[in-house]
Amino acid sequence: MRRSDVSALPLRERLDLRRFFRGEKAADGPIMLSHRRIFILPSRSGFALALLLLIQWLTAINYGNNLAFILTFLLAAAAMASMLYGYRNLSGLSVGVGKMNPVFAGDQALFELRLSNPAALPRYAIELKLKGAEPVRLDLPAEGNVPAILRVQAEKRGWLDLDTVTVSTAFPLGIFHAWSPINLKYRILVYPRPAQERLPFPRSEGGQVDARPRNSSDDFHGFRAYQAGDPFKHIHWKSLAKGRDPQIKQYAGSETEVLHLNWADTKGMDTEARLSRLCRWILDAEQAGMRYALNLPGNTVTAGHGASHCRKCLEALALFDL
Amino acid sequence: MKTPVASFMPDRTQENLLLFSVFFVAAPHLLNLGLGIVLYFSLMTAWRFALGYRPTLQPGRLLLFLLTLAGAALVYVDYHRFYGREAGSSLFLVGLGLKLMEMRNRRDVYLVVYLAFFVALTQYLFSQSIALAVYTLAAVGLLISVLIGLNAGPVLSLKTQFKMAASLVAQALPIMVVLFIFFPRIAGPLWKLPDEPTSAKTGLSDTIEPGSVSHLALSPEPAFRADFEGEPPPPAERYWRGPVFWHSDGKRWTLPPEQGRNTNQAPEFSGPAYHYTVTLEPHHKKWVFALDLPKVFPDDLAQTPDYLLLTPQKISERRQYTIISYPNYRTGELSPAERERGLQLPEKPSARILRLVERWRQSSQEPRQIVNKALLHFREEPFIYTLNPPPIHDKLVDTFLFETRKGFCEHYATAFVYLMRVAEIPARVVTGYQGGQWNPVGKFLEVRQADAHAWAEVWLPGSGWTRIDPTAAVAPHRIEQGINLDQQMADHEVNFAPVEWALADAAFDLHNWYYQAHLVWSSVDHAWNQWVLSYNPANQKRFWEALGIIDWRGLVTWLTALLVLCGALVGLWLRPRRKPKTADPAVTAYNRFLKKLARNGLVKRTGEGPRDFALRAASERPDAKEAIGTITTLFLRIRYGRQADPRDVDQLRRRVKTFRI
Repeated sequence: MRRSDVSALPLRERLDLRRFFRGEKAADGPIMLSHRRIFILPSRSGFALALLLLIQWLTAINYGNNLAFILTFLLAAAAMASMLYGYRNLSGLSVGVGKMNPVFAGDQALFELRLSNPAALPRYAIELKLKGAEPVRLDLPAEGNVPAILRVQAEKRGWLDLDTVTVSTAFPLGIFHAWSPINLKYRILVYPRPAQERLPFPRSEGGQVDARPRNSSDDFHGFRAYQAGDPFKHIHWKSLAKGRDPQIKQYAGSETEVLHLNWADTKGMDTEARLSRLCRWILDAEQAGMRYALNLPGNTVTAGHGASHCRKCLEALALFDL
Repeated sequence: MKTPVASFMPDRTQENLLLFSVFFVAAPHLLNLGLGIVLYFSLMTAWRFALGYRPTLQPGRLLLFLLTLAGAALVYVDYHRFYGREAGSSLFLVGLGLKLMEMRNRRDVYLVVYLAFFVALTQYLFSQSIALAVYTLAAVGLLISVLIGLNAGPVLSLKTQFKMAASLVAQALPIMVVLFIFFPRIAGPLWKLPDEPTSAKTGLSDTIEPGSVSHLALSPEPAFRADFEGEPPPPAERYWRGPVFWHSDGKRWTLPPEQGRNTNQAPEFSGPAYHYTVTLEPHHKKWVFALDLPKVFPDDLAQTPDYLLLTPQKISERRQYTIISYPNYRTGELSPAERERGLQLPEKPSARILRLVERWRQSSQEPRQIVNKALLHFREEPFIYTLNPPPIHDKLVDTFLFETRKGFCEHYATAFVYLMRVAEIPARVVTGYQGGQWNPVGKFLEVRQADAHAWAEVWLPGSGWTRIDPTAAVAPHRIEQGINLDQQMADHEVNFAPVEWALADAAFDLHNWYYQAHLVWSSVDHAWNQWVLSYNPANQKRFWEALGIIDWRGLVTWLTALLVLCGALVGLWLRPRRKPKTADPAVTAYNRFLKKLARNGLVKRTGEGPRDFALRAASERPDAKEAIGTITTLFLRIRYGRQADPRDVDQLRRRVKTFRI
């Protein structure tokens, strides 16, 4: 676990009040919450308590009642001590980033944060807040890790950066609000929204391509290493049974039958609609087990098949012209 | 692990804890407030408790409104007002009960808890005893645990919740002490306090009416305590001056409405002086009791022409005064007006009285001899000192002197002053306290309400006003020993309350133990009064001066430094501690194996892996080749294998244990 160096912050940035809410420059994480990042202010119940203490104090003065003074001061003292509890509840926690799971525009992007508590001290009622996301409340056992998933609606294709996440707690008395705004370098790729309409694949120069998968087994061509997404049928089971790494039988025929998805095929629509169209075709082609290639202006993905190929194509769409 | 963030309400357990805590906090008010109010509050708490199980019992708006009206009506019926100590406290208690009924969200819970804190405070307006202080400390802990539960949610066990609340309160205590001592005090009151009906038991009053009292209630409550610099006066000199009575209507002695300042010339003082501090219990009068006669007293006190010390305001809280008194004094001449008042008689004396006084006058040359003859009369005639005299309805002095002859100090003082006035010696009745019990544990004199006393003063040419205690003539032990309450309680002569009576009964055999415990408790109580309850703006100022705090800067420095120190201590207590790493049992076993080999000259080099070391060891000691191999394989499998098998660890331990070379 990397510990962020406290002295590394220039004085000018340190005194910047925006740090209270916007936090510091984004870091790769994990970010450890230290006294530099944790801020504490009374909450609304805290101000109400202050009012109560004022009334109690005036009553004590008026009646010259020393036990009333003692009670008032005891409550004030407990409030002060609770501030330290609140600080302790956040201090030392570290927040790291989890997996990046790309989503389609219109879906919810899941930011997986990983909270870890290195101390032998449970943390209670930690709340994570992110603009546009439902807050998450969690408790951390001593020396434990807990994932927290913040769901944000992905509206636009491209990179969706994680905004400032505020880790906060009102524990133990709810009269102080301790918080720490953190900025993590964490972004999720948003693919274009797939078009709703299922249109037939475009005609490529090679002639009509129908949506049926081609698995002609006539012209055996050779072996190559297995890649995720290859059809099970083409696995060379015999060599696998002998304990070797899985091999795929290659056929000459499948090499030639490639679906070419071209930017030009989607003429007459705006850019986003064209990308949505292409996205739909890619998904359909992948589902159909076809080999396909993508040609975008300035970016070409050569023919291929399988999850990683599909991902590569979608990525190209997502980042097109950005 | 995750719970929705939306307004977080306590679960059943937490709500019941809240109800219990609130009830616990309010319970001492049973002693202070009307039964109706307490019942009303209990009903609301019970209702809320039932609601947790039967949500249909939720009262509607109309019913809530009626309940509110009923609560207000209860307060008004009991106290006829909505302000002041009792009515105000009742109003808060009623409000707390009502708020319980409509507690719906988090904010309401806070309001209930804060109201409960205030209700706890109102109890101190009735009592400031140590017991109540400890009780409220527990109550505050409970309420804090409620807040902790509310904020932590259900993951926190009740036990952890209580433990956390207890340590929070414990950590708050030193901070509280710093604030108590250093936080600037302002002298109250800020607004006028309504006159409270006196509920204090006091042994002294504005009137004396000996005939109507057939049973003198003796209260063991302390009236005041006195700390002496040096030795305390002997019992016979412990006369604490209270109000002085001049005027009698034949049945009762009354005080003039207002007494002016002392314009008489100061008495001549001589002999030893007593320097002492009186800690007065609140008695809702202006009287400050001093030993006869006070010479030096604080500036805010005034002295009447009768030498009684008075405060500007009624004493409604515990006060301390430092006084110097001289038991030997000589007052000045008598003014004609005083002479007239000192000889006032309500009616023409009876023939028997005139005869008696005439006989004394004829056989005496000077007033002092008449005084002595009167005292001799009380001593030699069959007068009886008793706390339960027969009531006298008519001709009080005459009946007492010649018929009943039973009475206590007020009877004797009244009769004596009457006789002196008939003999044309100016005389007056002085009330106050006589005696007091020396507390050897706390080294102070404790004077109780039961020590209330009445005596006489006669004006004699040459010595001025002279104290004469006719009761001493009848019951010298009363003066020498004071009223021995402990003894009388044991003898069932005094009946305070059934509970204490039973206590005294049980203590009969353990009389000495009881007495000792009483002394210790009494000195603890005195220390509490002196050090905690008497701390006021004046004391604070003196304390600051002793520390060299002269302006607000010094105060801010001290306060900040001490608060930071306390905060640092709490922080140190709270610092996150890492659990000591429990050693891996496999490593422990393997290290033991290495030690065994090392004893035989086979030391594992730093940087040498277990496998390499095993090969080297096996080649050097082929006899143990097999054992070394097994142990190393087991160790490697446990540490680096895919899946740990707990049996492997056991086996490794066993093999290491039996390993011999």
